[in-house]
Parts: sequence; structure tokens; C-alpha cells
Amino acid sequence: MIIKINTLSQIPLYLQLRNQIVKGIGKGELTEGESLPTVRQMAADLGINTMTVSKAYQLLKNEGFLYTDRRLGSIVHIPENEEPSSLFQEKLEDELELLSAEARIRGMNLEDFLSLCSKVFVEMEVAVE
Amino acid sequence: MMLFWILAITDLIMVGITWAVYGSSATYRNGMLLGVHLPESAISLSPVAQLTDSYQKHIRKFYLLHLVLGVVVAIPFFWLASIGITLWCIWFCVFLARAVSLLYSAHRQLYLLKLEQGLGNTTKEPFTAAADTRTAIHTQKAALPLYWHLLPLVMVFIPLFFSRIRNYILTDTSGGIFLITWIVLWLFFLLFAWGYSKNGNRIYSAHTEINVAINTQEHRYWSRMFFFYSLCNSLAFISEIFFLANDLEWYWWSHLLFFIFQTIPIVAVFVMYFRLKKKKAQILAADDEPMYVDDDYYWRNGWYDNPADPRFMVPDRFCTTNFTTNIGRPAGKILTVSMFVVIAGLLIWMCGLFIRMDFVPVQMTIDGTQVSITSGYTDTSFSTDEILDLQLLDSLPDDSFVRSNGSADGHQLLGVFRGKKTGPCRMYVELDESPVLSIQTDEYTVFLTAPTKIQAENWYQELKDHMFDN
Repeated sequence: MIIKINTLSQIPLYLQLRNQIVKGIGKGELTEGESLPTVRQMAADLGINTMTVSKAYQLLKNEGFLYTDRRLGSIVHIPENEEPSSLFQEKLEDELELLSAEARIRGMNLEDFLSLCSKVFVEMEVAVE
Repeated sequence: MMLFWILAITDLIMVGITWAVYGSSATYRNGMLLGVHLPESAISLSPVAQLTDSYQKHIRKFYLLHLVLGVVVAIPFFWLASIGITLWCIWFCVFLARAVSLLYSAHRQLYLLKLEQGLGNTTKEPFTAAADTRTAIHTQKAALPLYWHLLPLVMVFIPLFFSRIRNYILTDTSGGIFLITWIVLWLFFLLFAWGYSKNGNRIYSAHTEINVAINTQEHRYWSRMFFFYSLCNSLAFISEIFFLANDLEWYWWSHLLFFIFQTIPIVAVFVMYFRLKKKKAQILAADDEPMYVDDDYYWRNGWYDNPADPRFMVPDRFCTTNFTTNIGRPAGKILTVSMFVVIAGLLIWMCGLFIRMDFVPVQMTIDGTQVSITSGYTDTSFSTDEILDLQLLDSLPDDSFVRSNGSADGHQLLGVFRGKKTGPCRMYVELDESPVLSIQTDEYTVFLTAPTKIQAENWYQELKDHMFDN
């Protein structure tokens, strides 16, 4: 998977990296059990600080998208298909609320908004080995 | 005469190389024009084409002028090396500074034009850095581990098991310097290999297999090349020290072996570089989705300035095989300033040294039993008791003298030499002066000329008197 970040953006780099990896898992570009580069290698390839990469990996581990194998390093993990937790529901609702508000302010109607959501959702193909 | 040809040819090659590195950036390559990322369609736009044309006209004139000047500055070597070296240093600095500033200025203008006309990244999510996860995993395994560099280090210590070589290194200054120089060179290669291994991968395409193929190949070949170079360097050291320490007859054979061991890796580097370039071009030709990481903002002044990037050395934008410093990092700043200071210091020191060698006259003084010979280069002093033989010759003895250090510019022989028949000697000789005073001691023979014939005869008489007094 090719991870792209914008070092000139206002969004923190660790968050951009975390989001890119989550999107990669969602689109099937990163598969279950796949190794990620070491913190040092990822930092060298992106030209960012190792602490930034470490923070992103830690966040992904806490969210259950990564786990550490002593031999293989950081491994992609896809959480079991189960009912989304209330915490995730809350987060999703919160983010959708913000996106809906912005869409509404910019004059988007419900139909277009839902069609866009559906298009993006369909692009996701989580690849479980 | 010889120095003129060496310098003139070197200058022509140098101007050619600089043109190849900096002068040819006006060609659209790797998604860049003059080091600025642009879509290919933007090259034909009127303001861009105008800027490129104007730059090309400028550099054509500039490089033609310096091809001529490169030869002109070598002319004083017919007369005095010190004047030649001083003029050459000034020309060299002006030429490099102007070549770089011409490019940086055109680069900056194009970057501002890109911002003004909105010619930047047209993708929906602009990015300034990219990493390919699978490429990173593969290249980690491709590079030769650094512990391999212990082998050339160990090899150098093998000759120390021979008592003669051990004595030579421990007792003779040149032996010690030779060993230290070699260790510094070994460290240099290790540092290069380490720096290269720490450098990130480059993204060329949206296809992972293309990124893997190019980056793996580059890491594999370069890491092995650094090791091979260090290994050949050790072999060159071993061959040279073996001959030097044993003071063998076939002295030139050691130089030949040294030359061979130093030349093989240089040739290998060139062969490998062109093979890699060819392979890379073949792989990229098959790519239908090239990807360019637009980090132009950090290169906006021509040099790399990114405080958030922890690397202090990054691949150069204008020459992909070269590395440049990250001015945004304190280490990068320190390294850049230090390099400028060291280079400027070395050039000034070199000019000063040559001027001293040409313009400081040779003097001989006798204080009690101590004889001191001073010059613009090295001084020699010995006691009159050490003199074994003293002669006033019409010219230098018919011998083949090899210079260990100092000057042999066709006008004078100054410094430490070694004669095939005479053995070690110290030279203070103006070639068009006569007679030559020859002072033989148990360690070496001193040859010196005086500004006038009378002066030379006076020195000879003075030394002779002191010898008889003793």
C-alpha cells in the first residue's frame, strides 16, 4: 500500500498516517496478517520523525488495527465481525454529524449526500486472509 | 608544462561534469523541470517555455566561457605554480558558485511561477511525502548488513603480526600516518554505508512491484559496492605497507598494485551506476502510472530546508546520485557551514603554501655546531658532527629522484625526495642555479642551491671550516 501524507497540512502527521493505514485496511490494500515497516523505516521513507510514526502505530494498536509480533514487527489486524461497540457508534455519529453539517451548509441535499456515502462505502473491500 | 596539461584537462572535465549535473536540469525528467515538479503539459506553456529558453541561453554562454577560462587559468603554470594555483582557486570558486546560483535562481523563478499559475499537484489529495509499505519491507532485507565492514578492518590488522611491518608503523611517522589514513578511509566507507541504509526509499510509481524492483536493486547494489570499495582499499593498504616496511627493490610494483586495487572499485562503481540506470529506465518505461512526490515547498530556494525531516542528508534534487544536506536541521546547518569553512581554509592554506614555496628564499645558518636550512616549505637541521661528506657539485647527481612531498614543478625541487642511487634526500634546489651543495649525513643527503654562486661557495666554506674545527 502506498501511504501519502501532506507535511504542509494542518492535520497532525500521526493522525494522517493513522487515517491512511485505516483507509488502506478498509480498501483491502493492507491485508490481515501483513507486516508494516518498522517505525524507523517508515519514518525514513516518509521523511518524518520516528516519534510521529510510533505515536500513529500506538494509536492503531489501541484501536485494534495492529498488533505487535516479536519476530515480525507490527502486523495488520482486522477486528472480528461483530456489532460495533457503543464507543465506535458514538464516534461515527459524531463524525457524520460534522460532515452532514458541513454538507448542509454548503447546500448539498440528502440524496447527493447519501449517494456519495454509498459510493465511498462500496469502495471498501476489507481483505481477510 | 606537465602541470599546465594536467590542470587544463582537469578543468575541461570539471566544467563538463558540472554542466552534466547542473546545466542539464532544463530537460523534463522524473516529473521535474529545473527541479520543480510540473505536469508534462505545463512545459509548453508560454511563461514556462520562455523561462527555460532564457536559462538555456544563459548557461550555454556561461559554460562556453568557462571552458575557455579553465584553460586560460592553467597558463601561469608555465611560469610559477603559486600564481597558477592562486588563480585556479579563484576561478574554481567563482565558477562553482555561479553555476549553482544560476540554477537555483531559475529554479526559484519557476517555483514561484508554478504557485502563481496553479501548476502544482492536481490530485484530489495533495501530498508531500509517500511510502510504500511493501517496498520498505523488501528493501530492509536487500541491503548487505553493516557488520560485513568488519572484514576490511580485520584484514588491515593482519600485517601487524609481522614484526617488520609493526616496527615500521610504530617507529616511522609515515607508517603511522599511513595506518591512520586508512582507518579514516574505512570509517568513511562505513559512514557512507550506514548513511545510505538510513536513507528512505523513493516512490516512482503507483505500482508496488515497480517501487520494489528499483529500490531493492539500488539498496542491494550500493550496499555491496560500499563493502567492495572498503575491501579493495584494505588490499591496497596491505600491498603498499608490505613493500614500504620491507624497503623492497621493486618499489614501483607496490604503486602499481596500489593503483590496481584503487582503480578496480572506481571502474566497478561506474559500471554499476550505468547498469542500474539502464535497468531503472527499462523498469520505468513499462510503468503506466508514475507517481511524483511534490515536496517542492522544501526546495523552494534550491536547497532542502525541512525542519520536520529528521534526516540531515537527503538525495539531491538536481543530481539523483548525489546527496545534499537538510539546512532545516541543526546538523545539516553545521555540516554545510563546516564544509564551506574547511574547503575555503584548505584552498587558502594551499595557495599560501605554494606562494611561500616560490617566494621564500632558501637560507642556511650555522649556530655553533647546529646547521639549519630554512625555506618556504620544510626546514632541516642537523649537527656538523653528522656530516659524512660535503661537496660542491656543478649540477645534481645523475639519478632518478622521486618526490615524497614538496614541489617538483620544473623550476625547483623542494621537500623530501628519494633518489634511486642517492637514497633519502632533502632538496632545496633551484634547477637553473649552480653550483649545488651536497651535504651527506647518515640519515639523508641534503642538496641546496644559493641565489648566487658566491653565496653557495661561502656556505660550502663555512661548513667545511666547522667540520675541520670538530
